[in-house]
Amino acid sequence: MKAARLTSPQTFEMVDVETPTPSDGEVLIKVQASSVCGSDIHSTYHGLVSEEDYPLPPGRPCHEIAGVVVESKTDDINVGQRVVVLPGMTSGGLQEYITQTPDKAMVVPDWGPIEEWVMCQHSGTVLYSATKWNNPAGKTIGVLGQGGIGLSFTMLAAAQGAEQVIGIDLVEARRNKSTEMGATTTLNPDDVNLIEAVEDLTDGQGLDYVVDASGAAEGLDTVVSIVKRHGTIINFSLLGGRSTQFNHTAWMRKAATIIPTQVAGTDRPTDTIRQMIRMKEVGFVDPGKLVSHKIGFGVDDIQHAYDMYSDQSDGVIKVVMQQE
Amino acid sequence: MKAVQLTGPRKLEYIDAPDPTPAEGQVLLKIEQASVCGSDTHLQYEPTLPEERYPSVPGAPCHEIAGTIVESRNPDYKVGQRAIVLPDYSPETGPSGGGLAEYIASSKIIALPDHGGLDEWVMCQPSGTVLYSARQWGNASDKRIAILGQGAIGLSFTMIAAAQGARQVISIDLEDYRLDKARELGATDTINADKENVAEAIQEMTKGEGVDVVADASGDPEGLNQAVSLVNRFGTIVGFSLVSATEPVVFNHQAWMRKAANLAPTVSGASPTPTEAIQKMVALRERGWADPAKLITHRVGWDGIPDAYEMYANRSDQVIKVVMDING
Repeated sequence: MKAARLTSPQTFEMVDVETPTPSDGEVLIKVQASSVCGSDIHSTYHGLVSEEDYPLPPGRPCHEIAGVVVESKTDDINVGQRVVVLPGMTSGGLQEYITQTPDKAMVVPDWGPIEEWVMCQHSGTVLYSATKWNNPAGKTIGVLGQGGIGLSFTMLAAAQGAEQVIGIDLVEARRNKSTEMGATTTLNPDDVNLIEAVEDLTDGQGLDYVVDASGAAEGLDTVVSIVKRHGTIINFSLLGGRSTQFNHTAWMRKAATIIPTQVAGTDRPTDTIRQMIRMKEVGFVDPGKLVSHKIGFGVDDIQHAYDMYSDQSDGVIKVVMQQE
Repeated sequence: MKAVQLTGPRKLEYIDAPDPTPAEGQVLLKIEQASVCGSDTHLQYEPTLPEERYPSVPGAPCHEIAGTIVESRNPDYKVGQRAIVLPDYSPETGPSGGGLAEYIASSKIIALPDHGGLDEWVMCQPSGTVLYSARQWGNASDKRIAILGQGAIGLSFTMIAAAQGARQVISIDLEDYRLDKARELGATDTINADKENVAEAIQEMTKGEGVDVVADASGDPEGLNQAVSLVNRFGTIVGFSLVSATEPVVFNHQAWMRKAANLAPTVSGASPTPTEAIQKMVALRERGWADPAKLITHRVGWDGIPDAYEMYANRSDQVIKVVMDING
C-alpha cells in the first residue's frame, strides 16, 4: 500500500509498504479521512525532535483518522462499519490501511460524511478538558487561540450554557468561525488591549474560566492576565518539549488554579471521543463544522496540507486528506 | 394600594393596604406579572399555619414577581427599568411584601431586557433557582441524570440537563401530561412512577449503567429516600424539594452511606447571592440558550388569583405554571 511520512522537517515522501494484516482481536481499516493536528506541526513537522527520529514511521505524523472496516477478527466491530481510529505508536493516518483493536476504534453512524466524523477525535479530547470547567452555566469563559482545539472549546462552552464565551485569536477567519461556533464576543489581541477589553466585558472582574489553546509559549501568561482572582485556567496547549518563561508573581496574585489536561495521558483516552460522536449523532454539537479544507492523498496534497496548517494560511482551520 | 393576603388555610382575601416606601438600597416596583410557586402552596397556602402567621403580609404568598421600577433608592437601578425582584426578608417581620399587590419595595433586583413580555421573563425566577442547583451536578456531558418530579422546578432541571448535553435525561412524575412536557423540553426518557417500577425502568433505560445524578424536585418527604435508592454509588443527589419544617422526615441513613452519594441541598434564595443565578438565566434566555417561558400553561387576571392558587394546589386542569396579570 501507499504511505506518506516525514523524511526530514517539513518534507514528506510517499513510500510503498506492506499492507498490515489484522491479528486476532483486531480490525483492518481502509483509511478514508485523515486530519492534521497542531501537535503534528509543533513537534515533528517543525523538527523539534532529534535528527535520528527521521524518517518517521510510514503514516506519521497523523493521529486523526477515520475509515471503514474491511476485515474483522473481533466480534465487536463488523466489516462495513465506519470508525474513528487512534493509531498505535508506530503507525499513523497517512497510509491506505491501518489495523487496530476495538478499544481504540470508535464506531460512528452510517450516515454523514466521514471527513466530518473524524473531527470527533480532536473535539473529543477537548470534551475531556472541558469537563474541568465543571458546570459552566452562567459563567464567563475565554478561549485563547481559535484553531481546531480552541474552537471546540468555544462550541462546548456555548452549548453547555456559559453566559459569555470570548474567542480570542489574531486571525480574522478564525474569529469568524468562533462566532459561528457560538462565541458571544471575539477579540483580536492585535486590535485591542486584551486585559482592558476583558475587564470591560466582565464588569472589571476578569473571566471565571480561561482556556489556553494557543499553542504559544506566552499563552500561559496571557491567560493568567485575563482570568479573575481565584478563577480557573484550563491548559490544552503543548509546546513540543520546550520550557517557557512564566510570570509566577502575576499568577500567585491571581490565585488562579491551573489545570493541565491531556486526555491521551489518562487511562481512558477514548471515552470522551465516543461521547463526542454521540453528541454529534444527537445534534447537540457539530464539530464537523470545523472542516475548512478537503484535499486528496497525493504527496503534494499532503505536503500542501501540512504547510498550510503550519502557516495558518488560506483561512485554514481543519484540513482533511481524503482517500477513495 | 390594592393587594391580596392569606387570612387562613386556602383563604386569600382582597384588601386595601398602605403603599410600601422604599428604604435605602431598595427600589419600588410597580408589579405587572406574578406567578405561583409550589412553595407558596405547599408551605403557606395549603397547611394550617400557627395563628400568628395570619394574616400574611399584603401580597404574600408570592415571590415570583416582575414589573417596572417607579422609584429608586438604589444607584444601580433607574426608574423605568424592568425587573424581577425577590422580596426582602427579615426573621422578625417576614417578607417585605409579595407579588399579589400593586407595589413591592425590595433590594433584591434582577434587571430585565426592554423587549419581550414580563409574563415570560418572570419564568426566569424559578428556572434561575434551578440553574443555581444544577451547578451541583458538575459537567453534564458525561452524566446520566434522573429528575424526580416534573412540576415547573423538575421541568426546569430537565430543560437545563438537556441543554447542557447530558448523556441521558430521565424525567419522572405521576402525571402523563407533565411527562409530555418533559419530552418537549428535552427529556430523553420518561417514567410514570404510578405505572412503572422506577428503579427497574432506569436500569433498563440505561442498559444497567444507572444514573450518576438524581435531582429531587418531588416536593415529597419520601423523595430523598427514593433519590438514594436510585442513584449510583458515589453519585450525586441534588436536593431542591422543600418539605414541611414541622413534620419529621424519616431518612434511610444506612442506604445512603452504602451508596456513598453526595447530598447537595440547594436553596438559591438562601445563598449569599440570591439574585445571581436568576440574572444568569435572564442572560441565557436572551441569548436563546433555554426558554423557561415554555413552562407557562395558564394565565389569569387580578380577579383570578384565588382560582390560580386552588388550581396549583390541586394540580387541576393540567397546570404547570400559572401567571397572574396583576393589572388585568
